[in-house]
Amino acid sequence: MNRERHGPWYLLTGVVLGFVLGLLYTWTFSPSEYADTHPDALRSDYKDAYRAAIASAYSATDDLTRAKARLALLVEEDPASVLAAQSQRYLAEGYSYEAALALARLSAALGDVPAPAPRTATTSPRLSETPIPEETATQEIEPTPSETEETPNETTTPGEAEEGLPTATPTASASPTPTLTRTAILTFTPLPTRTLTPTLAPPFVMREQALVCESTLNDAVIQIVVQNAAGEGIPGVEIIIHWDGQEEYFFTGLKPEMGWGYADYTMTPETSYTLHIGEGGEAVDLFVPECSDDQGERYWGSWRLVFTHP
Amino acid sequence: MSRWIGFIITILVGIGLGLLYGWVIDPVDYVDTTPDSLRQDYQADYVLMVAEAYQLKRDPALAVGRLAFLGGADPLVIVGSAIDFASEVGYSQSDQAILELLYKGVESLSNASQGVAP
Repeated sequence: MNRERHGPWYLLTGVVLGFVLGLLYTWTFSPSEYADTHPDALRSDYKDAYRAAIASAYSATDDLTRAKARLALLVEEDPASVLAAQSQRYLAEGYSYEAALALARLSAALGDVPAPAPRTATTSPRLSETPIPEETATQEIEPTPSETEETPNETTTPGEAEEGLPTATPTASASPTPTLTRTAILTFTPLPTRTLTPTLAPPFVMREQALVCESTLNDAVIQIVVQNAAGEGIPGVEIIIHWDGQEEYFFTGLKPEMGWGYADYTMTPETSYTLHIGEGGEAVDLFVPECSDDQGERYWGSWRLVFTHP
Repeated sequence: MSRWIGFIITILVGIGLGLLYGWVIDPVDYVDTTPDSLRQDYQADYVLMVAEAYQLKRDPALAVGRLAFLGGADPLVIVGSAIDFASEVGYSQSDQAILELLYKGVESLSNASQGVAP
């Protein structure tokens, strides 16, 4: 009689109560194991550090296949753009110059664009610490006698350890586990010093300087395009700008949507700037130009500069 | 009495459904994790990246700074674990060699900081 009055609702109540208890247990007291996570679950700042490590490893080995496999672990739609943006952010936030350059190089390599321009003759100690080889340049890493003595217990010969690396040949694998293998070349030639041989290139020269008057632009901007002799944009070219005793540097190729050889810089009116493309490049003096529209109203204009190899 | 038994059974069924949903259908989705929770092979690959960069510049302090990414453990332990893992899963000889090289660099830095003669 009593059962008929209440119906089967108590059963539903039991299920709901049990379900809530089950969820409480699984989501709060014993959630899925927080271990063995995947790189794509990393917090964004850790992802930045992970990307920077991939880029620095790529800078050392030039192994694009391996770098791509590692970037794939972060499951990002457009790794090249993410790297370019991170490089730009690193520069703006005062991170290591080398880290920013490594990110820019890898971004450029992923974009399947011409290799970042080699540095021209360097004079700055900061720059000379990190000679950047061209993608196609030979990077000779020749161990000193002391370096070979440093690892006497290794199971590989010094030749394997040193000369095998530039010819890395990763094998395809479905697993993200780094089961990559490299092909060692047993042609060790002892030479007295470790020598890095960056390829030098002639400095860029300005081919075109054009005044840009567009009232829709909110800021006065220096738009820079760096091209090779064939007219293709070159990413990773350092641009140094000086004004009022201050200096800033940035790179081409960090706004791929504008072209791989493109970079820009926002000027402050009534300030004079001097701009160099790379170390030893032609100096260009600039000021913020004035433009006027059809009604005679004045506004700040911009410059468009095109640089190329002679 | 049978009513109570039915009630308890339905609670147990509900708990079962809750566990199924919470552990299988929609488990807690971890985001913003820290590197020390990375799976061992990812951690070993990270150490390999540090080693690849180290072989070019041979700057143990920089390498130790990069290894700190994997948490507060002793860098030597971190590299040692990576070497063990590399040996276990069969990394190439050259990869194992540069991991060893990194280990020696970190060890020398560690010894230097403790005033131990190499």
